[in-house]
Amino acid sequence: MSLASRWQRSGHQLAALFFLAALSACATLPQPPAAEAVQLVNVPTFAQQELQCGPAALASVLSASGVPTTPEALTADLFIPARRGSLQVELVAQARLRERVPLLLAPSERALVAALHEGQPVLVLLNLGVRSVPIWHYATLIGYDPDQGYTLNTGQAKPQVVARRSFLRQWQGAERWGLTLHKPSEPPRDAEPAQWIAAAAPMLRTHPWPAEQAYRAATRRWPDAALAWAALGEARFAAGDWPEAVTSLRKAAMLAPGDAAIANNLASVELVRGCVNAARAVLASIDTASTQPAIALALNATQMELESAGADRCPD
Amino acid sequence: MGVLGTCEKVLAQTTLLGVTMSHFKSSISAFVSASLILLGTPGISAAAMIGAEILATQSLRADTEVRVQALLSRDDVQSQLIAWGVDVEKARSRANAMSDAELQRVASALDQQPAGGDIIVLVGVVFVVLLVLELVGVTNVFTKF
Repeated sequence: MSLASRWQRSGHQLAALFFLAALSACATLPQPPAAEAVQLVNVPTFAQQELQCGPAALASVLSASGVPTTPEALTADLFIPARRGSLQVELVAQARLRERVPLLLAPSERALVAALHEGQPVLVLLNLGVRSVPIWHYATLIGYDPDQGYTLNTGQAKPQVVARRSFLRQWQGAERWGLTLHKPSEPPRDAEPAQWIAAAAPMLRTHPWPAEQAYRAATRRWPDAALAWAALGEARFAAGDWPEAVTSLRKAAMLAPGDAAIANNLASVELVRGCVNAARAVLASIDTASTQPAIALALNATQMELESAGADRCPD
Repeated sequence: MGVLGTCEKVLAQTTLLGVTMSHFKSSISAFVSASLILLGTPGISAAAMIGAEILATQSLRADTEVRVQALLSRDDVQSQLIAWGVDVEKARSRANAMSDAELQRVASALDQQPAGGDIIVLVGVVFVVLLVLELVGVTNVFTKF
């Protein structure tokens, strides 16, 4: 029997085994991150056993990020769905409502420690039980020590120190979920443009000013990221500032010449300004055939606008 | 750790899948329709713009697709695939067609490895190939046998 057919028989189980074994890295702990001990001191702790389902931990990280609040204040707003959705989604939404950009942490220990060294407490979900009988618990990570372990606000009166092995097992049991909150004007050092913009974008509808701040900060941090300029252009257009919208979108188009979505947005704004010729030129420069169906939808709408537009009356 | 009654009851309703925050929307088409900003000003026609949320999630998706394809393009990975009788081109086209959920799982699995190293050097070709095949759902697509 060849290797291939033996593999075909047991391959699926084998793959699953390898997969699970490799991911449950706590069997043999990897080396701890080579970093100094760090402890954050400005993170309020709320001795709230009953409200540990998010509100206390969220109040902790919000307060640390400059939005003073209490678990009681959040509980009133925090809608807890019985079955649909998840509390993680609610935490993220509540953070945005209070004008903080929520970033999901990379699911690695290194990311946890790096966040702490940046001065960011991390809202983590832990499974204090086992996979079959989970006991969920939110906590705020505020410190790390290579010898002592991790320091957490867990709803006790004082922060708790948890051994590294225990903490990692509990965090792994919650699929390594962690959240950091950021002021819109201050993207963290290790963020990526797409991740930052995706995290801030849902704010545009309800809190356009902080969303725009986040986009503007993105253009300063990543001046070569077409996405940042495209987002800023959208925000300025929504605010009625067509000149800056056009400038930003032109910059985005220059940085990403073949991008159909950006071309669509630029052409839209040019049309609204009456710059029919410019809009036509923008749309002509992209290959409309190879776009995603969803983008093609918008492009069609813009193309139809172009065809029914009158003469050029561009203010430029 | 004290009494966690409320927490347990509430979270018992949620599944672990709900824990991970999705990077990608499950249905981009439906989402685009909802996110198109249609703005009308008196006397001037409306504009149909694609929201930044869409642009960003598409960019994130594209990044993960690139990572997976890069893995499948490596000589050592391809040798392993061939040794197992897996059609490399089928694997790649299957990877191209990954759903948002599959891509998210791959990204998460790749991200959980220690950062800063070549993933294949760290965990071995076999693991990476098994991982990608498992997540892409290609494990039963073989040319031979």
